[in-house]
Parts: sequence; C-alpha cells; structure tokens
Amino acid sequence: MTLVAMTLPDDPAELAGWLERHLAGLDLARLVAELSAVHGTPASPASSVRDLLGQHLDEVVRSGLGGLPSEMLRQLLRQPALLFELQEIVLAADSPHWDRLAGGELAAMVDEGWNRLERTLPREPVILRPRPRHWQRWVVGVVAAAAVVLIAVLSYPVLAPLFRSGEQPSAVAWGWARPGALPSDLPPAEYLRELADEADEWFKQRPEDTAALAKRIDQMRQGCRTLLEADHPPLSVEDRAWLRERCRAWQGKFDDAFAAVEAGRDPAAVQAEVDATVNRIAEVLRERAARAAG
Amino acid sequence: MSSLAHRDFEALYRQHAGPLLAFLAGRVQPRADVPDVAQDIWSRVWHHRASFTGGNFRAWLFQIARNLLIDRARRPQLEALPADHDAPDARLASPDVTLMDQEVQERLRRCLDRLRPEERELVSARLGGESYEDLSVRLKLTAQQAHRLFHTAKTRLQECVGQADEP
Repeated sequence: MTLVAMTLPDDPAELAGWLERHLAGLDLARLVAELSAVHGTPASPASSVRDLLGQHLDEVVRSGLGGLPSEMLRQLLRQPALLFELQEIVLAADSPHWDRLAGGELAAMVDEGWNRLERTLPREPVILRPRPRHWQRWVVGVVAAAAVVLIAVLSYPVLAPLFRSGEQPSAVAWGWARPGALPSDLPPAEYLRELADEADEWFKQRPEDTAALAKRIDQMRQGCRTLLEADHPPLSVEDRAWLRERCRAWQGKFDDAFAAVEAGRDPAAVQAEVDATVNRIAEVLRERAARAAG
Repeated sequence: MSSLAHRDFEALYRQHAGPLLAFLAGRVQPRADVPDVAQDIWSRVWHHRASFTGGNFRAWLFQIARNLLIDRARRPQLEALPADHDAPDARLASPDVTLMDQEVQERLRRCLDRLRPEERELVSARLGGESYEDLSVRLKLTAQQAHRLFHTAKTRLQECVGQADEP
C-alpha cells in the first residue's frame, strides 16, 4: 500500500497543485486519514474552513489554492479534517477551475456511469395510430385550416413586429443562427472563439425602437436554440456538455429579456441587461477557448 | 422521453458527474459502492427533474446527494448488508468517522511510533508543508541532511505499512 501523504512534492511551489488534485480526486479520505495519523489533534483548531481562510475562501473557490499564503496551506495540512469541508465547498460551487481537475481524473468513471445510467432511463414509447379514413382526413384538414387562420388573427399583435421588415424569423443574418455560423472544420479553440465573435455581432446593430429590440432579442434566442441543437463536431464531449448547459442558461436570460420587452419594461434597461449578458457569454467562450488551446 | 430531453440530461450528467464522484468518494464506504450511489443520485435527479425550477443545478444536485447519504446512514444495518456479510459497515458510522479510513490511520500511527523521535518530527514537519530549507534551520541540519533523513523515514514507514498489509 502506497501512502498518499508521502507523495507530497519536495518543491513548495508544487504543493498547492498537489493538494488541489487530491481535493478534486478520489483519494481525499485516505490523505486525510494519513495526515490525521501524523499530526494528531491540533491544539487550537479552526472551527471551519471559512474561519481559517477568511477572505481567501472566495478566491480559492474561483481559482484554486495557488494564491493562498503558504502558512494557510500548511494549516490545511495540519488540520486535515477541514479538507473535507473545503472539498464540499469547492465541488458544490460549479467552479470551472475545480471542475477541470475533477473532470480529468474521473473521465473514465463518468463515461462508465453514463453507460450504466442510460440503460435504466425510460424511452419515449412509440404510439402507433390507425390511419384515418378518407372522410376523417377531410374533416381534419378543414379544422386545421380554420385553426391556422384563427391563430394568425389572434397572434398578429405579437408577431407583427417580427414580420414588419419582411424578414422571416428563421432567416437570421447574424450571430449563431446565421447559416454557416457553426463551421465543423475548426480546431476546438478556434471554434469557441468563433462562437464568441458571433455573439459579439449582437453589438453591430443597435435597435432603434422597442419592436426592433424585441426582434433582435428573439434572433438571439434562435441562435441559442441553434447552439443547443447542433452537434458541435469540433468540440470534445466535455466542451459540448459545457456549451449546452451554458446555452440553456443564456437562453433563459434572453427569454426573460424578451418577456420583459413585451411586458412594457424600459427598453433601454432591458437592452443594457442583454448587453451585459452577451459580454459575459463572449468572455466565458473565450476563456474556454484559451483552456482548450492550453 | 424525447431525444432532446435525453440529450439535455446527458449534458447535465457530463458537466456535473465528475465533481459528484469526487464528493462521494470521500464519504461513501466501501469505495466500491461509489458508482452505485452516484447512479442512485442521478436516477433521483431524473425522476425529480420536474421539481427543478431553474437556478443552480449543482447546488440542487449536491443537496440530493447529501439527502441520499443521510438516508443511507439511517438505513438499518440488516437492510443495507447481505445476509452473508459479516464485516462492519463504515457507512453507518457518524459522519466524522465515516470520512476517515480508520484502519489506515491506525496502521500508520503504529508505524510512526517505531520511528526515531527526530525522524517523526521530520515527517510531521514535511507533511505539514514545511520546506527543507525552513525545517533544516529549525532542526539544525543542512537541507541535504534533512532531505536524506526524511527519505529514510519515508522508506521505513512505507515498508512498515506494507508489512502490515501481509497476512
């Protein structure tokens, strides 16, 4: 049996990275057990990780242990029970830094887990219906046509701004919904940067009135749907999963913005919120691109 | 289940499964049960997905995980173990004890007691994160001597713990 604690690096500069890998890996319990055997019970232990790390805790969650003063790192090693608490905080925080560490080491277990899980998930049943007779099809046709006319009349006030310029909602000439916006032959980092540049196209045209703002937000929503439904062949499985999850969150924000415009909220305020969202989207896509390149 | 819902669920799984596994590995004994517990948690997520109303999915997932671990800890031992299982089940211990591999801890303590005092102090200092430069000043050794002494102690500990592995 190899003692995990004895793999502690000789170079103090490598200590933070070494401890991070154990916090995000599978053998933290062993490490804590070994360190507890070596150090025993501390004379005046900190009552919690926040108590020990104070204002540094937020930075640790965001960026890891690299920026922690060396004395605090040593305190963590000498009070190893706190490592469990720290682990729970950083793993539950949905922090890209810690997720990247956990994702690398545990990739094989994650794949095996999905294969097992997928077999247990229910599938949508296929319901076979008998073909309608000729007269039934005729009745259904008349009713459907009437329904289309009725829906068109009732929804005219909502849809009119989208059609006023003569442009169909699906024919978007910018952003992610533009035809050819998602090239399949780029390296992962370039692909993510391309997505960031396309998000930035939001800023190329500033809406002049409320209807134009609603239309442009709706086009951003279409772009999100395009991203969600695309296969993103240049990306790894992890990056694809990340992108789709982010995309759902972005779509929620654009849905909220669209609803706010329709509800009569100040368009300038809504536009400012969308600007901030798009800036953040472009920023995280470029951060992800940098990681994919690194 | 539509294919889109299935794909969304897979995306969520792939985004969050790694951190969840790491979290469980420190809290589920025996370790071999971790994949099964993870599977139970994801099944709960699937069946209760309608109750997730948006917001922080990770926080929701970890709350489900904590609840399931509490359920496991409360489960009567006879129900949790097969009839022919006679080993103690650490899952039923208090949280603090469950978090530690007591056997490794005890074995290492016994082996540490067999080291010379200066070796013990050196091991404690190094595994407390002290650099060779710092502890050589404190222990009045050259850095090279401290390095050599630590590696001797480390080898002896490793051998001692390894011997305890043998039947």
